[in-house]
Amino acid sequence: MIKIIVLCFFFFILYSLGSALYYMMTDKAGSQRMMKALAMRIAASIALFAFVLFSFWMGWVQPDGVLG
Amino acid sequence: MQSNDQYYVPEGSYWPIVGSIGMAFMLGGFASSLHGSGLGAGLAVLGVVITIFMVFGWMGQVVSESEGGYYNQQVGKSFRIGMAWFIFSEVMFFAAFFGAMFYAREFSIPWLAGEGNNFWTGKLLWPEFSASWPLIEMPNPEKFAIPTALVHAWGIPAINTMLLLASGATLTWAHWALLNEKRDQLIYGLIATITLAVVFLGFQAYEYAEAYGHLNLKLTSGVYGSTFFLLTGFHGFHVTLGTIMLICILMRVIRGHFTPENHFGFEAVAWYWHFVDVVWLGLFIYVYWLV
Repeated sequence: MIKIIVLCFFFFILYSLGSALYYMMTDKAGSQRMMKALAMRIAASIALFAFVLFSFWMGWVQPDGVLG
Repeated sequence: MQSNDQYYVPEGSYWPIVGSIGMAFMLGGFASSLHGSGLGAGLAVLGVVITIFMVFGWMGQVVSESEGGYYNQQVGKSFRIGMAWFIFSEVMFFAAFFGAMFYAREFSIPWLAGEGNNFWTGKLLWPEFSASWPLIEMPNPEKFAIPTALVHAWGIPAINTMLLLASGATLTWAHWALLNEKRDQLIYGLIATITLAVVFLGFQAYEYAEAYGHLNLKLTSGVYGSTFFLLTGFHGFHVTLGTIMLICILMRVIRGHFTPENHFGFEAVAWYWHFVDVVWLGLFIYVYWLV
């Protein structure tokens, strides 16, 4: 379940990064849409990071492998 | 000023050959140092200096052409197409290394332990071997540097993630300032981004020193060590390159370059920085947290 949520976050981050790239290629310089897509990207990344830390705090995920 | 129907073609330039000489020194020097030559390291450093000289010289030429009004819309389109191919090559580059780690972790190591239809592979090659990730207990440990511990995610990597995420936020703040003609805020945002990037690189260097010096986690620590250092090391190179580009952009901003309507150089570097940030997030989750 945690993996699925992390993957959903990641796909959304890749989607916003990809759309920012598309706007950079097609819009004239000064694209508001590009800036907004990048802002969305950073907001989603911070949310993902917070979610991973929250999952750790809740004991849902454990960092590191065999050697702990 | 170039008219819109004329495509600007620059005069012949010596920068490409300077760059080639720099890279030849870097590669030759590095290869010689691997073979134990005393001169190797010095030649490699000379190569780095020549390459940096070339980067600043060539960039400076392009900047003065841009500021001189030589570029029309068609040239702008060429820059965008060039950027698209560069990004494509970068995505494929990291896909190959993430793919290598994924393949080793999910397929080849379990197969060596006899999973799937490879029962006899495990039995015949290393009957005692059991699959695990990170692969610390190798089937023939005498051939590898065996780590005593891993780099813990909840330490420097987590701090570094915060630093890079913060740098993405400060860069977005600077981007917003550029679109709204707030030059001071743009400069502060870029300075903050560059500072965070330099601190990130410092922490990364410290982490490598710890890994090599205390944890015995090395490039020779089997498939985990080699993919770990390839992925994080090349990411570190990208952060270094991104930082150099951000410094160039900052210098241009201080000189009054870029307007809300004309700043493709800023956009390209900003996008690149966000890309490097996302790669790190992938590394943090897949390589450090092992999710």
